[in-house]
Amino acid sequence: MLYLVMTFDAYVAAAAPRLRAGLVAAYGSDVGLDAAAEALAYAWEHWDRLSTMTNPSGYLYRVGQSAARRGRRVPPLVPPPSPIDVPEFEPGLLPALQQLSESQRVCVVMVHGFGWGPTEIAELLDVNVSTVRSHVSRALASLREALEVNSHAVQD
Amino acid sequence: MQSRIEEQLAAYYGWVEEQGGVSLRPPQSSGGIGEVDRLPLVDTGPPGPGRGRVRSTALVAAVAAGLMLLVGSLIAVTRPTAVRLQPVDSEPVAAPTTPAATAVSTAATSTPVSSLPAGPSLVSVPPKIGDDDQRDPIQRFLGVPKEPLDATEWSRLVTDQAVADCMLAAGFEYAVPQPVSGGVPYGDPAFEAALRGDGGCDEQANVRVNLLPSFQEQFDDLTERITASPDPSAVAARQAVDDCLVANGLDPQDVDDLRASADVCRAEYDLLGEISAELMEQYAPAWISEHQEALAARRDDLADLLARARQHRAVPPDFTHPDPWSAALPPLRLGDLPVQNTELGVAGSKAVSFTNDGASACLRITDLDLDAAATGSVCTAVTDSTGVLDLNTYPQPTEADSLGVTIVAVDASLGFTIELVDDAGATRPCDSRASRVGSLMVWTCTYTADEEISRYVAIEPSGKTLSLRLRN
Repeated sequence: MLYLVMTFDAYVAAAAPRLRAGLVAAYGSDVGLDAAAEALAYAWEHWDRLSTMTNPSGYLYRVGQSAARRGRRVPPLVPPPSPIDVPEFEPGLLPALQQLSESQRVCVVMVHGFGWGPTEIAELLDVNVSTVRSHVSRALASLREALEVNSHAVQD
Repeated sequence: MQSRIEEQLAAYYGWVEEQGGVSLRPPQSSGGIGEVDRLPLVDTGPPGPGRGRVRSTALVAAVAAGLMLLVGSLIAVTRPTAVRLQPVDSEPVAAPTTPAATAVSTAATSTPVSSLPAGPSLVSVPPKIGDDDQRDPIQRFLGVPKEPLDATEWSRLVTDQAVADCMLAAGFEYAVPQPVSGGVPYGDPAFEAALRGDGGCDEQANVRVNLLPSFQEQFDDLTERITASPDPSAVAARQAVDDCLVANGLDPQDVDDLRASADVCRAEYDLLGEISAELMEQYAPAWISEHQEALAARRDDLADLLARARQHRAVPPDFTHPDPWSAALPPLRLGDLPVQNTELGVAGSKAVSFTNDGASACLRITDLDLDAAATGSVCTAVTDSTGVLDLNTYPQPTEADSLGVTIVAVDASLGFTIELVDDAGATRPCDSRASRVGSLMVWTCTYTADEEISRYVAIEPSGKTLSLRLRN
């Protein structure tokens, strides 16, 4: 019994932030937002099909990944913020993020950059929650190591 | 450094979000983890009485565990998520008047339990059919089929018929979209607006078919009764969740903490969900009685929609039959499969398709992560009994990856069963999630590298089913 059946608009309102967050984390804001838009357009065209899926967001994330990779011309973009907008920004963070695997970057950015929970991320990426936790842990370790190395290098 | 990294990430991606001008964060009003993908659980209705206020998140647990039991089985709701507990000494609410509930209340505590106000006598709620009947009393009262697959189809039929009724009233003839290929926008803007516009027939049909949002207040009332139950096992279960949260450094009253809590207190949440489902059985009959007139009208309307829907289109033979691909069907061979090319869908990073040209049948898996570079297929003569697909030609799953296989039987008379086969040859059902889409049958089976399953796929027609076996 479906006490509620979601309309497309309601689904998009609920699902779009997470989808965008994942794709922005993976491919940067420009490519990621474009990919999310493509994925949502796909959702509109195939809503009857998507609405029966157990994990439509996971499906759309894959659609977005394909869209992003099709159009990828440059590495994932993580433009530096202006010093006014983000004061005391660690300049080594963005290069360190670039060095992470896509999965690690997506997980750590979604958790600590956007505030999503491991279960939500696991659904989006269609992986186990333990995998998400592992990615976050390893990503933080890598970032910490990278930034500490940079820090030592500067001090030296 | 770690905390500084987290702060930097939050600051930087806050700036990114601001630059992008769109929300990239979880909705603050979200009741819990994973809510987005529980399609039927998300209220799409307009604001109304009782909506928008902060509700006890214990309500969410009760709803997830009890009210939505069948929904859970259909759409893989895993378990109750964010739960905020009412104080143990909270004011008790109306107790059920069923014998079972009376027994519970008597045995529970000395806490005074108010009785239901005088009202209509209890209605007859159909009993569960077997131990595997996951319907709650409300679903049984409304006539929802027992089998999850049938319930999915039931929902589709009544909703489509409701849309068709609405469109007809608006002056349009609505052809029910074909499964899989449906959903393509119609060319006529007026038709589109009538169907999918604000207040359009999609929306109206949902309101007509579903109890929410129109029964939101009543559901709130029921869930509050359940979550405030003085049943000692419920009290203990709530307390166990509460204690677990505190032990893990989480604040049960803090919604942000609750978002991260479901995974650390899994066993406690599961138990609370089971108890909530039991309480639902106790409390719902009285609640149904209180709203008998409206619910009976809704039940009759749904039955009418279903009857008319079944008149207009082919439907599976019998919702009540436990096996829609039963007995009278002839043995299945690959050659029995229709000549066709079918895109079965995408699962994990793999796209799966099935082709049959009348001479050979092929299962094809495309790795999306590798831009179709790692595409492989297995073909077998349609008269053969077995085909084997060697997945060693594909990159092995990494920790980050998962391989999923979605198989669609192309006709209601054909079934696929999916098993996972381990090294020792033992089989077990895969984590299959099945649904029926029109005349199509969809199974989704997933496994991950953690499970160390499967490098081979064997297609083994046997009797009336075609088994897809994943082998190490």
